[in-house]
Amino acid sequence: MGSDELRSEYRRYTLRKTLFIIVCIIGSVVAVGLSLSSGKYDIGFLESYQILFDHIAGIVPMTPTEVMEDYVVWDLRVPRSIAGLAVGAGLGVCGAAMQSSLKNPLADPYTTGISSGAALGATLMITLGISLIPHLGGELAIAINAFFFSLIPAGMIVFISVFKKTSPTSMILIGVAVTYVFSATTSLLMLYAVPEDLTEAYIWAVGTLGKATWDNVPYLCVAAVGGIVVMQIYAGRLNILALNDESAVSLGLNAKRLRITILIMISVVTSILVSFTGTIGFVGLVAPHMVRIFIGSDNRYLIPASAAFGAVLLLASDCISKSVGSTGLPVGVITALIGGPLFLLLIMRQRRSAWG
Amino acid sequence: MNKKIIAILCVVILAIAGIATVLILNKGGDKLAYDDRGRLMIFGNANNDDRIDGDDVEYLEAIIAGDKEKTPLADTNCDGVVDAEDVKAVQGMIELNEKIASGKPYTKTEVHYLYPYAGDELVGQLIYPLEHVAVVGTNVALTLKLIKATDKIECRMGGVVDPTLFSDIIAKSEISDSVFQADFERTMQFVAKNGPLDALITLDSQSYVPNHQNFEDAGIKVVRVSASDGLESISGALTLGYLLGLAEESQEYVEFCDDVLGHIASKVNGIKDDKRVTSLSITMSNYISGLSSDFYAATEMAGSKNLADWDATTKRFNIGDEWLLNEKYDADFLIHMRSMGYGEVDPDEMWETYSIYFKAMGAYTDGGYYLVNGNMPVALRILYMAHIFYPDLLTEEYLTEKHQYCIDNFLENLAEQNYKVADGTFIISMDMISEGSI
Repeated sequence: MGSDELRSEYRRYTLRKTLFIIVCIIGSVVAVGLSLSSGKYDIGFLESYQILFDHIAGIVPMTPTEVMEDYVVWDLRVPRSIAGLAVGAGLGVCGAAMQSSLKNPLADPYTTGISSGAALGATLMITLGISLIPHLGGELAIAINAFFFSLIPAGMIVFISVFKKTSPTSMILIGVAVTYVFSATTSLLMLYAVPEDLTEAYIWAVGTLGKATWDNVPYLCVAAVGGIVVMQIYAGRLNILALNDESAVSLGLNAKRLRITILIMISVVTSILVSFTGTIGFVGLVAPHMVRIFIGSDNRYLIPASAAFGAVLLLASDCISKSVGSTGLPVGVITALIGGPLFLLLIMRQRRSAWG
Repeated sequence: MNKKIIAILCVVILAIAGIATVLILNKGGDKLAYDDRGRLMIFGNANNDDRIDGDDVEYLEAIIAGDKEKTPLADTNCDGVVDAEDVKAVQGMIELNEKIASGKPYTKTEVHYLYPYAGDELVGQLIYPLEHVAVVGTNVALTLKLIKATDKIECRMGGVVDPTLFSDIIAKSEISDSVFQADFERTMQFVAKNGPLDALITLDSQSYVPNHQNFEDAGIKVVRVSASDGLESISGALTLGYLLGLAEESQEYVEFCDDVLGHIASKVNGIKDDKRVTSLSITMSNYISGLSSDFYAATEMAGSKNLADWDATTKRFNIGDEWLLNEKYDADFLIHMRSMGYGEVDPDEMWETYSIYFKAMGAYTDGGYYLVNGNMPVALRILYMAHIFYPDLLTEEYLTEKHQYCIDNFLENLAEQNYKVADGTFIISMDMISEGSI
């Protein structure tokens, strides 16, 4: 193959990946559009947009019905859609980065035990009313508890890694061990919880975008954008880390330090995301894998594509979750129910391994 | 030949379907589905009134003579036929009740009763009067207090129990850590130390005492009653009163309930449909009562048109959900039942905790969201709701008078403390809340 041919082949290769990213971004915009017009409140598809534009244009709703419709679109659906975009993108990116840095296809943003830590923090507040910030109650107290508790498992991994030589596999195993301890404590709390608190804790653990408000959406956006930008900056180094630690050292990288740095960043971003939404599962694990099937494992493309695809997956699932049954379902249930079979289908149809 | 086989198959399928239908309809073997049985669900209450007396004997004799139709509770010994044996059984029950009432020595006897459980009605059988009982559930504990059965309670459920309302029960031994449950081993430990229990009394929901079979196997009857629905709670109080040998006490309480509910009905029944206020009722934090809920029935008895249109007992309304915001659920009033006890509560704190789910609703912004104390006797809860809906028809003076009467006559521990209605919080409305909490 000549150099021109090689260059042309490479151009086609990068174009295909860029196109995939663009398609995913367009998909996420469409998903936001659908999300704005879906829900249990009876507002027509076009009417939703009319209400949104009226609100932006400063047209004040007059009748009680108009006030309610404005509330549903502007205060419920718009923040929820933005949250879906941010959380889906954030989890997708963190999942991709975690899989690459730990060189393990089973890794996801919760591998370090974040979900179990967050669940314990939230359950402590929901069932016993124990808040890390004295006299603070409600959703904010749950979010703060979840955030700080979710960082404990990652902190333990970092602590152990500093004093003892740990391989990526050891890191995962430490996360698994911590997860068991935290989950058992959560189960203990739930055993003695009254049914009402039990349901609340369970819904929190499954994850929902329903708690998104204009107050917490900025945190989600900052965390997601921060995560995407930082991981994109680290994309090249993640590619090296995904090979093996010896290659990284030969290229002048301190693999252990880099892995711990990435792990800390992923933990902080994921902790912020789950604090407000609960532990929405599956997106962080599956979105990067699905993207890999189409564009391979180059993190320079994998990171933005996982972000866009994660957003599409979560928003689409949320549209369904809002419409199912008489009151809707937690989105975490739908991501697994829809994403799982789709993922299986793609795995069975792919011609070669996308991993590596 | 083929036609014969098809015909045989059809017969077999029809026979199987028929047997299956019979089995399903008779699930449990002892389920009854009668209507118009009155309120005292004791077999022997042949004439369907609130007591078992000479009238029931006469009624039974009339049934045997063919002068009257058989009534659902006429078969006193539940042997399938109404005959002289049933007359004898009722006469025995009357004699026993007279001995109990006059404080003479008596011998316990067998009684059959109907009880609700998980939507079904089942036939129970036990030796009465019950003398030593355990209680699980705050509503049923309140019913026991109201029919003056506190002395018969030997032990109680754990969990959070209002120390003011239940000051006479709170010191009793706990047999669980939850208001819904009785721990079998703890109960048996109690029995080993303090003597046998005749029964464990609880509510008719499956959430309460799910391990009831363990107790039945150990010889402790699990008696279930409805204690939260307006009319069924009256039936529950009457039946429970009879089983505990407190027939007169329970009838006194029921007369009070009838008086209150009758007064409400006389005021609200004449309201035309287009003048009737609309409501939704809420239980726990954010569960909206459906058509089959006790709380739905209570708001309707209080004279409102409840807008719930789903069959399930409740539907959850989470923060971020939209379904309840639809115009068809735009009620004038949201009645949120919460346990507040008879002690001090912080209205601001309660308001902030529970109103958070409903702030976008028209009823909230119009001042129609109310927290109502769920620890009151059921008739009073309905009265307070009726007062919220129609303050001109059911005045504050009337409800205070009735509530005070109830405290003075049926809640002995509060009466001994000279408790006044003004000492507690029974309604929390927006105008009681400080600016920052709204």
